This record gives sequence, C-alpha cells and structure tokens, in this order.
Amino acid sequence: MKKTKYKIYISQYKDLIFCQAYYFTKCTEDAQDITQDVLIKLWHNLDSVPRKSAKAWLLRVTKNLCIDHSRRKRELVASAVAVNSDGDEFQLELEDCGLNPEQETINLDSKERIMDAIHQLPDKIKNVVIMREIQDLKYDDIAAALEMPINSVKVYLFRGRKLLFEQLKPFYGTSVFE
Amino acid sequence: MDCTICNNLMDDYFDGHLSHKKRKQVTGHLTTCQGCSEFFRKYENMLKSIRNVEIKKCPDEVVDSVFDIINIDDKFSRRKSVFDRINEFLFLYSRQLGIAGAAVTVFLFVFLITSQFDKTTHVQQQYTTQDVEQATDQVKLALAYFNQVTSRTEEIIEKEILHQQVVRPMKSSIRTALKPLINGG
Amino acid sequence: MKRYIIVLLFVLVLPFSASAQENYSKYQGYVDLSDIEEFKDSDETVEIFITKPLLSLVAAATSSGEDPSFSNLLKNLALIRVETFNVKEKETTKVKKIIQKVSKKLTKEKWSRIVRVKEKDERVEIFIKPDGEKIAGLLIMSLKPDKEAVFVNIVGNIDMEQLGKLSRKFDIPQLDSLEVKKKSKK
Repeated sequence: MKKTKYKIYISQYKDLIFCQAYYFTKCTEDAQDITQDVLIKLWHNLDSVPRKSAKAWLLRVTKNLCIDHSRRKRELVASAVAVNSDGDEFQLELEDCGLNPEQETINLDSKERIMDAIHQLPDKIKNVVIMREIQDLKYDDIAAALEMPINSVKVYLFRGRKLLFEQLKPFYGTSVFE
Repeated sequence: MDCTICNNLMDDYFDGHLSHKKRKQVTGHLTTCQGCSEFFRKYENMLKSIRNVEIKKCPDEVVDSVFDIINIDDKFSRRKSVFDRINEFLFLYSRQLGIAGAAVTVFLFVFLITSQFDKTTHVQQQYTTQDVEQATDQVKLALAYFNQVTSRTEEIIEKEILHQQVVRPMKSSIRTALKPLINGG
Repeated sequence: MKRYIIVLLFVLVLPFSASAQENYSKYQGYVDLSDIEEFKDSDETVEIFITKPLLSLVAAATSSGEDPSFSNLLKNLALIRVETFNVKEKETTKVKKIIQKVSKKLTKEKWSRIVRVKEKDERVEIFIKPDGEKIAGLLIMSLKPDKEAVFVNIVGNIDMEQLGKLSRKFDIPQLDSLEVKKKSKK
C-alpha cells in the first residue's frame, strides 16, 4: 500500500514539483536534482504526510529546497575567487547551467526574456508568481504551501507583477508580448 | 473614479475579483482615459505572455532514478496494469467511496425496515370510523354505476333482440300481406 | 459537514417515499386512465378511488351486516375506481377516441371484451382480465353524448356473480342523498 500511495502522489505531483523548481532555478539539471530530493523526502515522510495536505507539503519542500539551492549558488559565486601564483585574485568561472553562446543569443527570445525576468525576482515573490501565473494554483493552495495568509500571497503576487512589468516594459511591442 | 484608484484595482480586475459595480466603474474609466487604457492593455498582454509559458513536465527518468535510490523494484515509466489502475482509483476516491457505501447501506437498511413494516396495521391507524363509513357509501355508489351501465346495456341488447326477432319479422309479414293490395289496387 | 448531513437526510427519506406510494400498475387488472384527466375539471364529476387497506376495513365493518356477500366481495379486491364526468356535445368525439384507444390497448394486453354497444353516439364497452380461472380486473366504459361518461375499474380477485347480484341492490338516485358525490382518493 505504501508503494501504491507513493506512486499515486508521484503521478499527481511530479510535474508540479519539477515545473516549480525549473522556473525558480532556470536550469533543467538543477530542477531535476531538486525534484529528486523532494521525492526522496516524500518517501521517507510518507506516513506522516496527510492526504489532504500532500500538495501543500510537496510545494513547501520544493520551495525550501529551491531557496537552499539559490543560497548555495550565491555562496559559491562569492567564494569562487581564487588566488593565482602572483597573489592576485581572480574570479573562477563557474560551470553554467548548460548554456552555450548560441543559447545566449536565443535569450533575447520572448519566453527566455520572461524566464529571466521571473528568475530575477526576490525568492519569496518568485515562488508566488510561479505558483500563480505559471502553475495556475489557487490562492488557498499557495497560502497553504508557503504558510502565509492569503492576503500576503496577494501582496507578493501584485508586487511581483509590477516588478515584471517594469522589467518587461521595454519589450512591449516586440515578440516578448505575444 | 480617478487613475490612482483605477490602477490600484487593476490586479483584482484581471483576477476577476471585483464586484460587478466596481468592475463597471473601472471599465467606465478605461473608456474615457487613454493613459489608463493603454497601461491596462500592456499589463494584460504581459500577464497573458507569462501565463502562456510552457508547463514543464518531469522526465520519467528522474522518477526511475528515485526508485533506484530508495530500492523500489519497478520502473515508473512502464505502463500501468489494470491492477495498478484499480488501486489508484480506490486510493484517490476512498473517501467518496466510503461515503457512497455508507449512504447505500443506510438506504438499504431503512428500505428493508419500511418494506417489512406492516402497512395494513399502520394504515388502519390512519382511518377513522367516518372514513370507513364514507368508503362504504362510495363502494355502494361504485356498484350503482356498475348497475347503471349493465342495465343500460341489457336494455339496448333487449331492444335489438326485440327488433331482430319481433319487430322486423312483423314488419316483413305486414308488407307481405299488404303487397297484393298495393299491386292490385 | 452541512453537505453530508443533507445527503444523509436525503438518503433516509428516499426509502420512505419509495415504499409509501403503492404502484397499482403492478396489478394485472389495473387500467391506466390518465387520458381522461383533462375532463376532471368539468362541472359535475365523481371520483372514487378506494384502495386495498380501506376496502379491507369496509369488508370487516360490513361482515356482520345484512348481506355477508358484500363483505365477501370486497375483501378480495385491491382497488375500486370510478371516474364520471359531464360530456358536452363538442367533447363527444374526444371521449369516443379515448374509449377506442383504451379498447385497443386492452385488446393488445389480452383483456377480453364481453360487451360492445354502439347506438348512434352512445358507447358501452366492458372488458375483463382473466387470470386462469379467476378474473383479475374489470373495466367499464360508457358514454352518453351530451350527458355523462362513466369509467369503472375494479381490480382484484372478482366474483362476477356476486358483483352482478349486489350491484342490482344499488341505484344511483337512491344514493344521491348520501352526499357521496365529491372528489376523494384514499
């Protein structure tokens, strides 16, 4: 029965988890790692996760792992400074998320612009925007997942929209806004 | 309504959370204010573009690798068997099935009780002596109607028999008797 | 929670309503006379609908009376139904068509017609529903144009001889004083 329950949860929610992680990290590999971690946590906590709140629990764990990931990356960037034999500091080039020069150009494309704009939002706002605008979750679900009141969800969402609008305004009239 | 208020209501407007009255006020303002109208249009386009981004699907290999890690001897990517589907259905709808089952049980129980219940005794308690007297009269009236119709039928039949067996032959005899007179006269 | 209470109440009430109304169409001798419903609003009508429980009570009440055959007849019946109404001249054709329709239907359902009378516009048809050696149903349809239509349906195990004998004792003019000419369904 545990296996059946686990498989059912995976069927129902794997895309939700992956999509959340993908738009948060803007990286397929990172999203896959986060998804894997979430699912492993689910297996170990399966008996204690109530059915009614399984969705909120999974989103919350995904959010936490995304934020951890983002913090780790910032720390890595901060510590990615090496000292050469002359004693000069130089920035280590971090392995990027599989982007290549061709893809850099493609970033000017509409969907990538939007992804970039979302990626640059503050973490709390980013989570709300992804859940509401991309995943089309209800306010109740978002509030339960992020453990905040519905009004706070709205405040973050509206703030996120305004920030996105400012970011994307220059591209109005181009293919960004289709 | 001024532009500041209108812009403050913008998000609720696009989310469909405004009352009918407020919505009407906003649309009224938009028809008269080009600036706000332009702003709303750009904002709406932005929302549409964001909402149209692709919903990313989790590759099955990710799940298969999780199964490997936690030692589940199965492949998520394989097709579901009938047994899997049944199990899934029972798990997903266990609450609804439970309620439906309880409702059916209660229904059957109550139905059995009421059908076993002695209706005659129950019904006897409903009728007063007056009801029984009235019913007796009504039965008599019903029998009277029966009598009326059958009597009328007998009348008609007898009339026909009389006509067939008496009147017609008599008419025929009279005609025969009078014929010579008619022809001869 | 409220939703569940409503569902539970609904489920509890259903069986009562299901078993409360007896379905007379289950009786072989029952005839559906819904076609005459439209005439029930006419000036003078008689509606009698006495069901088995009340017939049993009447049988019990009259068992020790003058004529025990009355009680004997009733205790085997399931339903006595009488519908009469005034028929205006312009309604004659309609009522004749109804009688024709019901006759066709009963013939299909293996009822036996024992009387058929046609005299000018007057109609009488009497059907019985045999059930082995018994008679499970009786239907009388009678039309007197510009006067009255009478429909009588008796359902149950009918003793025709007793019925015929008993009915001769009752005359409608006799019963006028009994104020039974009112609509009632029991």
